Amino acid sequence: MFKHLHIRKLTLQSRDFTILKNINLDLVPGKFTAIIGPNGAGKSSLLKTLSGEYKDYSGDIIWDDKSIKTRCDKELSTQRATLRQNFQMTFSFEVSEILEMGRYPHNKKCAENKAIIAEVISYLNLEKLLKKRYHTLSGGEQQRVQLARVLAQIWDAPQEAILLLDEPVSALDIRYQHQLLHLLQNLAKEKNWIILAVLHDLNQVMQYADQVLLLKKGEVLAFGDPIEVMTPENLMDSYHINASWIKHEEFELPTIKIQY
Amino acid sequence: MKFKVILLTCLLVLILILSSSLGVVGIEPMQVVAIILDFFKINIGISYTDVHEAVVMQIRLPRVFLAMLIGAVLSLCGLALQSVFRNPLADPNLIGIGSGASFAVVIFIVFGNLITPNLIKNLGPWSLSIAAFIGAFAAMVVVYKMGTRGNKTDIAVMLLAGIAINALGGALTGLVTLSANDDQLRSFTFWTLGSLAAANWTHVLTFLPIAFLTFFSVPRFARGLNALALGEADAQSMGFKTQGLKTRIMLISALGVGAAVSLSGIIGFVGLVVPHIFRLWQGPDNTKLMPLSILGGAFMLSAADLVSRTLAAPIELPVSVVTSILGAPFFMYLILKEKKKGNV
Repeated sequence: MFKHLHIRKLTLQSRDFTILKNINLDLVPGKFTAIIGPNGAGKSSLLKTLSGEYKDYSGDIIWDDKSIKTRCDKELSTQRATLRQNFQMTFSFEVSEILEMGRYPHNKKCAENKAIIAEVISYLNLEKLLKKRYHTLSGGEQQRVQLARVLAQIWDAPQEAILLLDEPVSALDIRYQHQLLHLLQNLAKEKNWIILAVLHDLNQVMQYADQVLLLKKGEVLAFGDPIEVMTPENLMDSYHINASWIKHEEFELPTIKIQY
Repeated sequence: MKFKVILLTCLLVLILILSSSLGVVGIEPMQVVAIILDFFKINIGISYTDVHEAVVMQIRLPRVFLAMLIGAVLSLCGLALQSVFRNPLADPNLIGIGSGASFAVVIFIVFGNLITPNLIKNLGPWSLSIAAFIGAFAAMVVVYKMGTRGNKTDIAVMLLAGIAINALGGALTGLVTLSANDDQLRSFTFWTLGSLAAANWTHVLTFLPIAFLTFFSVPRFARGLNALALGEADAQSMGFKTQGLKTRIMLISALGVGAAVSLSGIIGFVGLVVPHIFRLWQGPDNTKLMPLSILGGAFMLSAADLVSRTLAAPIELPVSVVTSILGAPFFMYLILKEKKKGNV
């Protein structure tokens, strides 16, 4: 039995305006979903609501046939992990210590945790960074370390897990951006996870995402296959940009060209 | 890590013997060992006089023990508060705990005596600790509430609030002092400067349970405090109840630091510098840093107290002066060293 994630009439209010408005969404495991939309569309807020940071929402989030309101954070922490946009740390921990933190939610044997951390390290090629202090790392390295911590947190989730990523490629160079997106695409399938990531580069979304959620002013403008969602019309409607598709005979998917 | 713990433990034993042997009445270190062992009914055949025994057992040992316990509590609470406030500047005194505690103690002494002349004697030494705890906790809650919006703590606002509370506490304490008599005045000076001169076994036994409460409870939150360094939202998504964690650490710290202040006055620098020194030496992982901070705090304050009473004997220097003189240059050296490595 697959664990589906259903979002029902999700509305999030701040004091004087609506951040998210009546969002309905069904997500199946094994898919990498990109969240796109202009600044202030509610991408991060949606992620924070799903991650449990914002709790004052109306509507319901149902995972595995149970409302997540009825489940405790402790239990969810072994099956749901979040990479936030801000990855500053107060103190300069060693990278290996930060990875250990990813296993804090688990009451497993030390050796078991170490084995999982070792798997994640080799998965992300972080061997060289292990003994370094966090504040000596570059922004991109820091982001990769935090991603490793988050992956370690749910690596052995008994069934499917939810992985939420807020702009996971923002500090990475172009090579690592593609490496990471490729990896997320594979992880979703291999592990049967639900992966949701806020992304900005439309062509990367086209290339790697299994499906796309396009938000506009806190509402769902379109949801589905990248090729169906990121049409010039939808992009005009949400971002107010002139986009056109360029098809190349070598590639199956079109490139999105934006004229400003 | 093991090596560091053993090294610090050896240093503590060394300080214990040195502190018991040095002073106006000179006692050989071996005599000190003999006196202590004799207490446990072990005779090693070294002779000493009754005066020696009285000096060691009644004056010097309780003082060393109190210094060690208070140093350990101040540094452990300082470390925990730095993690809770996610700021390396969150010294217990900087955020108003010390002045809150001393203000409450002063109020208690002056106005308590108005109710019955021997109020404190009748209630016992515990009453001062409780007053200090209330003052410390009240100050911390005010500082924390002022610095918090929603569930985010704004460190800059919080430190400013700490400065305000310190100023207010200091001024009010000064005001109350005006209505105090000679005896009370003397004890106020003692509180504001910080001193271990009055230490006796009753003090040690009063403080012991509080000290052990902090030693055994605070390290249980080490992992939660580590996670908090990632950010509050991250700690929450890892299943830690951050609000409960913060409240508990603040309560325990108010109790520990408050009780310390009620016995020794405000001793600066230990809570700030000792955790820093060991963080630079060991790294910020609280599971390892906490045991080291306990031992290191105990060592720093007992060593400082030894220096304060022997350097210009028979005059005693305020122990805060010594902790700062000893700690500050070492701290500066470490900062410069780490700056070169790029760790700061």
